[in-house]
Amino acid sequence: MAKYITKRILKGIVTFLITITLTFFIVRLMPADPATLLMDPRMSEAHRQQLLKDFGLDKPLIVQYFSFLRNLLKGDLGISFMQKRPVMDIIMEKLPWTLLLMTITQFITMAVGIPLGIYSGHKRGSLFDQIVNAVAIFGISIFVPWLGFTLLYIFGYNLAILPIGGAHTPGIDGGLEYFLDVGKHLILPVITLMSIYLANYVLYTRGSVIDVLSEDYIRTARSKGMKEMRVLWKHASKNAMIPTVTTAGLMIGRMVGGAVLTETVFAYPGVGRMIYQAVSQQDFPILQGAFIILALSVIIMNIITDILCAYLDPRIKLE
Amino acid sequence: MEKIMEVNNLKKYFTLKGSLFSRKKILKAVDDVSFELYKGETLGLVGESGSGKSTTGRTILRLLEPTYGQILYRGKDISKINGEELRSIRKNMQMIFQDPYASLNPRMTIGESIIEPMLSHNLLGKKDAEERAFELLELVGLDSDYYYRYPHQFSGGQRQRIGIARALAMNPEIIVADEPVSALDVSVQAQIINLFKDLQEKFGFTYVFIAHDLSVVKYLSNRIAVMYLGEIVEFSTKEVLFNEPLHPYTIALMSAIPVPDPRAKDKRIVLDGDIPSPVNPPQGCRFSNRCFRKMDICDEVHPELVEINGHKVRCHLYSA
Repeated sequence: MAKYITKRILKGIVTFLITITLTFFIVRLMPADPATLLMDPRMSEAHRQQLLKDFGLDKPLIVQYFSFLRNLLKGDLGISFMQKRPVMDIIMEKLPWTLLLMTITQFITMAVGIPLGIYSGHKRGSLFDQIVNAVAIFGISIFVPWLGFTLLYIFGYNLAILPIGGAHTPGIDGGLEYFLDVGKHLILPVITLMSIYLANYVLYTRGSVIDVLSEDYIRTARSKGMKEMRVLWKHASKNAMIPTVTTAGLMIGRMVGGAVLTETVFAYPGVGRMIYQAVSQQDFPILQGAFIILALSVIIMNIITDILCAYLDPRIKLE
Repeated sequence: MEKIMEVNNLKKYFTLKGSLFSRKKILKAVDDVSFELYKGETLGLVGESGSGKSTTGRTILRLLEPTYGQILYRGKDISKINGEELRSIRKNMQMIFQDPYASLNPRMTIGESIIEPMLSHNLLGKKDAEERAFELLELVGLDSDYYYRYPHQFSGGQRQRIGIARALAMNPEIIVADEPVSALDVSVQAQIINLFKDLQEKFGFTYVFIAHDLSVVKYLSNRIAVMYLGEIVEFSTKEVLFNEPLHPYTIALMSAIPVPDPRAKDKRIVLDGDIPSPVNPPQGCRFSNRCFRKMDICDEVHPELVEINGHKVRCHLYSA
């Protein structure tokens, strides 16, 4: 086991190095010169040169790359061009909001999606199954901004029972009131995000339950005289969980990246909206920082998922 | 002899989903099969793939829903019972499956698979069940340490022994073995067949032994039913059937048994073609299109199962 984990972590480190290298160069392929964007056009060329120098943009790309690596080791992701603040600080401000939004969304979708998928797979072809399928496909195909705006229009504007944006109302802080206020701000973004994620869980789980239920050992369990519920939960679900765990791992890994569209529509102060703004402002230290954190989180979740799958399935050899 | 099971006019039809342009089709996997089962005997069910022998085996254990007919277990019709009643009757009848690997849950250790039914039917406590599982493993010729291992860690023969141990756990009266050795090497086949025989001598199990290999069935069975396209075409004791096969299909099957004598003349009767589709069986005698003794009547009239001195056969040659 220890050997397997070590090997997996080493592989993770190599993946991470490749990812950050790619990130560094891809971000610099953006067809714009940040200094020009930053500068007031009335400023002189000398000024521009000074600015480039301040950000280290005057040096050759390869030199920039190594100083980027050196800084990264120190946990320094550079300085935002626009906000003139350390990228790390900015991300750390946004991350808790995104994690709050995503954790709640993931938790609800899993709690609803997995049982729904299992039941649907069990009752394959029934009316229930067909409805679940249709809804899942609808959810996965819906255009997120459209759904977001529609919800905002109905609940935020027409009925005016829910806030139209942000993560909390300024001025309210502390106590139960703050807690409820944050909760209210979460409702619409969570519903919007669920429409995408729920289908994933339902369809993956359903598919693998259908596969597993046709296995011979399920017939064996029935012939042993097991209750149908036990056959379904103990024999089928556990075996069917492996694809779902893999999917969940990937989705949880991507959580720190926030949800660009949803957060932007709801003006939610998370990582996703930050990425959107950084793109429109060509603020590539922020983009770079966000991508690195995202890559790190995905890689870590992948390692955890692999270990979990090895634990779940004795056939996956721990070597 | 004590009769423990009686199957009357059992039918199992599968409905094949029609496509957009075709109507639903009905596949008659088992069509009007009747037999009795006596305590301690081995009934062999033989036939080609598609003859309905496995379906018969599964239906009498109610792993499949019978379409029509009675299944009397100790005088009680179990063909319609459900739920708790069915569950409790299942512990008296167990099945051993063809593919010993696929039929074991890969996520459970051998031990867990074996003790599960004992716990679930509240037969024994955890400790006693474990104790019994160790005994069972040794009984089928395995090390009791194997309790803690997973199915993928075993060879084919070992897995089938595990499958047998699993079936024995409930101390069943009837064991339906569905081609239990056809996935194994010939040398291993012999060991497993001997295991079946030993266990029967020791515990007096009643077997329904399903196979397509007549030599395997010959060694184990007391009575043999030959099936073709969902019907029993010949039914008799082993001795009578092998000495004096009546149905042309049985005669052809017998001729296919390899004789361990290089000088023996090859009198093998080779049947033309494949078994017809059970969706669309031949009218008249179902064997008519492949029969080497076909008469005119065979195309038109479906023969009944007639009895000649306790030897049942479904063929126009003997209907008079």
